[in-house]
Amino acid sequence: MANFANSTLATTRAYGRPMPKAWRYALSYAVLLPLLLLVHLPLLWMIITAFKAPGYGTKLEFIPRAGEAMYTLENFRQVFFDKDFPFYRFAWNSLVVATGCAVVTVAICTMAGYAFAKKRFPGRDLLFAGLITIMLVPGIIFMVPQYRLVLKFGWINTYLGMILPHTANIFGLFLLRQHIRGLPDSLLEAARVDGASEIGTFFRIVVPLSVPVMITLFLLTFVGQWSNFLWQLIVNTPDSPHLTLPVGLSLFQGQYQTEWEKMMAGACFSILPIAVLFTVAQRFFIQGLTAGSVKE
Amino acid sequence: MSILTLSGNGRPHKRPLWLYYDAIWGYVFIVPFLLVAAVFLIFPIAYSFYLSFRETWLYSNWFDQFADMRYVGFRNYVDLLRNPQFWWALVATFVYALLVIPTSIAASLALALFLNTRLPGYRALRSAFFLPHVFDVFVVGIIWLLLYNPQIGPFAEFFRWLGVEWFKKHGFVDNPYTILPSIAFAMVLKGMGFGMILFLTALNNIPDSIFEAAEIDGANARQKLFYVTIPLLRPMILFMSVTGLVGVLNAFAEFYAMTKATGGVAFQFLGATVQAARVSGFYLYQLFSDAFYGHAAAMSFILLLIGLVITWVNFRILGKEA
Amino acid sequence: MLAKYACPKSAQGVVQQWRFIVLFAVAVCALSLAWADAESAREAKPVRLTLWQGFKFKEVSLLRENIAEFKTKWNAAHPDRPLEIIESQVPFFDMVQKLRSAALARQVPDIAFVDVNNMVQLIYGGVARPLDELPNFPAKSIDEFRARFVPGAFDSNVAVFKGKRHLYGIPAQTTTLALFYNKKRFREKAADLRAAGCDPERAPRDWDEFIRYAKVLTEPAKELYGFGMNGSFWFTMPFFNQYGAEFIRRDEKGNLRPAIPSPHALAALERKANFYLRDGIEAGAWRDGALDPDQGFKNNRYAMVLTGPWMIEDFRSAGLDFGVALIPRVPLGEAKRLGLVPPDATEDSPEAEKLTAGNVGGMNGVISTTCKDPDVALEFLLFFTSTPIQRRWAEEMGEIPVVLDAQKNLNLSRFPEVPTFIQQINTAKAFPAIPLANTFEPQIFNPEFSLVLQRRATPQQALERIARLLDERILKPVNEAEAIALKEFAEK
Repeated sequence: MANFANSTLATTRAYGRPMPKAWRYALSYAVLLPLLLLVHLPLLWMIITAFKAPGYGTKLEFIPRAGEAMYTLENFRQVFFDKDFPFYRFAWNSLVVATGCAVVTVAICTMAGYAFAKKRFPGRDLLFAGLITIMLVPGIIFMVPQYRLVLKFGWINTYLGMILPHTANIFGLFLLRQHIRGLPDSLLEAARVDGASEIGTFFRIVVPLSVPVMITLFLLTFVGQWSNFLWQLIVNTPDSPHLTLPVGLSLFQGQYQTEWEKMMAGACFSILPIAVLFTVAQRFFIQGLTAGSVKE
Repeated sequence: MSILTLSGNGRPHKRPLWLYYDAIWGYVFIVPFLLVAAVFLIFPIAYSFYLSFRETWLYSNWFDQFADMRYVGFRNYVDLLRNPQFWWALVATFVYALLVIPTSIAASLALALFLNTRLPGYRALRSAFFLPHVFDVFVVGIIWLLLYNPQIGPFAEFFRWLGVEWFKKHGFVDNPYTILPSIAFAMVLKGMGFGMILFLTALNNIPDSIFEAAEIDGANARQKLFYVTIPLLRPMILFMSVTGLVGVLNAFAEFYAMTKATGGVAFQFLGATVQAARVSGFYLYQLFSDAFYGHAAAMSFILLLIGLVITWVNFRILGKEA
Repeated sequence: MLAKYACPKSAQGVVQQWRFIVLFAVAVCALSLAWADAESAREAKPVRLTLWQGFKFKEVSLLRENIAEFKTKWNAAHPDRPLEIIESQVPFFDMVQKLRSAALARQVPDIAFVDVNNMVQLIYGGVARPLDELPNFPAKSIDEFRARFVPGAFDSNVAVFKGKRHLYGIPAQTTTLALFYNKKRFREKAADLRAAGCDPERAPRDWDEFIRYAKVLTEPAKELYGFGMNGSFWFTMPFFNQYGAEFIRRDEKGNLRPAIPSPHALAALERKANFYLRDGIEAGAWRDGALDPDQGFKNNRYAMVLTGPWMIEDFRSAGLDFGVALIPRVPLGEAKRLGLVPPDATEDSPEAEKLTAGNVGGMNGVISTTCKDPDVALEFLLFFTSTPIQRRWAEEMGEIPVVLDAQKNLNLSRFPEVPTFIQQINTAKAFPAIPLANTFEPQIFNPEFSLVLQRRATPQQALERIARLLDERILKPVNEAEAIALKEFAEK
């Protein structure tokens, strides 16, 4: 790979000759590391505040004075062990809904993306353009009609009702169609010549080559649904066994209180599982997507 | 084409049989998606269109709210178009879009170019920058509100240290001048990692020969950036501006969180009192939660129309060579 | 088809008859089954009540105890109607949204505890059931029943709907604002307070005194302020109430009209705005991004705030040394000028008592129109508002009892602040129960008042605009809808 981008930004001297590598790296770090701190400031702030004792969450102090109990685990204890707060049930439901939604979304988007990318059928382009247009419709407007449908189908308080309405993800369709369009036709033809069935071609050629994009879509859908509040709130009655974590955590926002420390402890539970998931999974998709985009 | 043999008997077709075969399989593959989309996306749009000519009224029975909506003709649309608060919602959305879309594209691209090198630890850095994108907007918004606090937040303190007392006095989200830029800043920081990944993917797809040719022609780094890299990234820039627009039109949670659900500080616009951060998504949410379903539907269609026009313009400007 | 033509007429008749017989048999079976069902139901008719509540976490355990207690009591008295109560917690702020969607699914709970501000929506939506029509309603009239309760809390439950006045709920929890003051800050500044003619051992009694106190306690360089206030309408209600300002009146034709701007409303608004604008004692806590009054009070930054009993425990757990006093009165001179008290009134005359006033928040217990056993539900609400239960809520949770009986002889060793709140709530007045009133605070009052505080409008201009918007967006639509509705209901 030839070098182009390594010398594109902030790495050239006035004469246009590349700087020494060490200087370049130092300069990059000088820009990137403060930026990184800024980007992660909310996360840090959240974690620190979640450990603070009542009243300290709204003080710009971090080092406790002698004899002062500035930090505590109390905020977390309340979320975990309150007998009236079935934390694990909420978390499990969130996990089921987010996973279910992500699996279905990826499955149907990959199939449809393949068809829109590689199959020729009457009405294809018109249909695709129509679907893309739907992306521009403000999302909240779907809520009321979708709720009526779910009522009609009798899906209140069911996982099905929580999952299915959000699986036709047009952004995901677009992502996969763009990716699959980039796959060489010769591969598919070769498979056909080898006598592979349509289904076989799909599973043996298209799916393996689309894994990074599929994982990306899986994770994006997963996090979207993990934090989906409004829909999961209205599609479940409060006595439903399927309440999810965001709905449960909203119970913490008492009537008038603004206890930052407890709110941040609650927020940790909506953010940290995602952070862990991504740290584990990132190599499957960030590296998959950007593989080779390293120039030296 | 060898594939023609699949049509079996080799009889000449005006349209080869395998094309029909291909088409049938095409339909088979899109059916699951299309089914869900038809039920949960297309029907709701049609239904909302129907609702946009009706409205609930004070006596709408909650048990039968939709049957109880009354036909009002175009009144929902007229009401909206005559309301200065609606116009401000559009202006605020437009301003926010101008603040957030170009900035996040530029920031993402810069980040992608920085991290497109074998900088030690580049993999970890890519992941680290990407991470905030996946966090819940509402939760992040609430934390930012704490960070922007003029009394106890680090930013106001930082500016005071720089000698700027203004924020200490007027806050970041507490005055109509900086509220939208402040929210935009927080959201750009949150989202730029995602754009970075998209640009890295796009950079990955540019053939090296193009850069080699440019180098042979004696282009320096800046020239390569502006005359080779950016033009070649145009489809991705187009994609990001369209999805950015979709995001802005749908943006709601960040405004809800960072204005404590109020819509932000008030000021005068066209002789009416408006709230600075009551963008279209927020406005729509309020209509929805106050059960003005007809107005909400009408507003969605106005927004759709605007979105289509902007997208079309976008394609005209950026999509010429795409 | 062919077979049909081939059939003789008589045979066709038989076929039709045969169909009729089957239909008859089915009908008989169905009826007898239904009858048998009714018969068996008469033997032991279980009562199943669902209940949604938006209490805070620490309050829920006491509520659950109450429910269990009621169940035992009921089951002992009515072995033929075994009772089951299924209780679930709903996020307080999402209750209306939930009820709305549940109504479409016909899954509205039998009992719901809803925010007093949302009562009218439920009544107009046909969700809340008139309680005074139930056979076991324990009073001859609504007004007789009212005498048992804190008036301000009770009044949010009474509304005129479709031309008839009914009681639609029973207060379950009531709150009001009072003045919290930071005793530690008062002690620190004791000498300065005395020098300014203020007694550091007690809270200010009227607004003039309040300003004197607050000026001493305000040290902008240290970011310490005498007062931190919330700019929203609910937190401004005490001012309007103590200045005797009305917002809405009915004209001679029965139509709703704005009652502002009035000198009283103007005086109230100016009083509040001037703490920030003129007196310089307010911290700017009304801004969205700033430390809100509760947080600032907790951090010893704001020496005085107006807040409610729900904060007591929070403040105490933060180790704060604080006292609670009545909201300062309208200064006597000003009150005389505005005609709030007779010219010869003194600080101790009974009229002057009215110069402090609270506002009303909290929750009401509502029984839904779909409830199958409303009598049992009402029985539960009456149990919940009975004196012993209300006393427990005051003594164990620091809540204000909703019934007047329970206000006496309380053992408040854990919550010495409660008597002040009781005194304050008895002076409180609720916002008129009209539809769309829930949009008044966020969309009309708050933005306009924010303009005043930003010096972008004068209080007079703001009140004029509030009056216009109130008329345009709430009162006119309500008048119109009422006119249509009355005609339609008359036709029916």
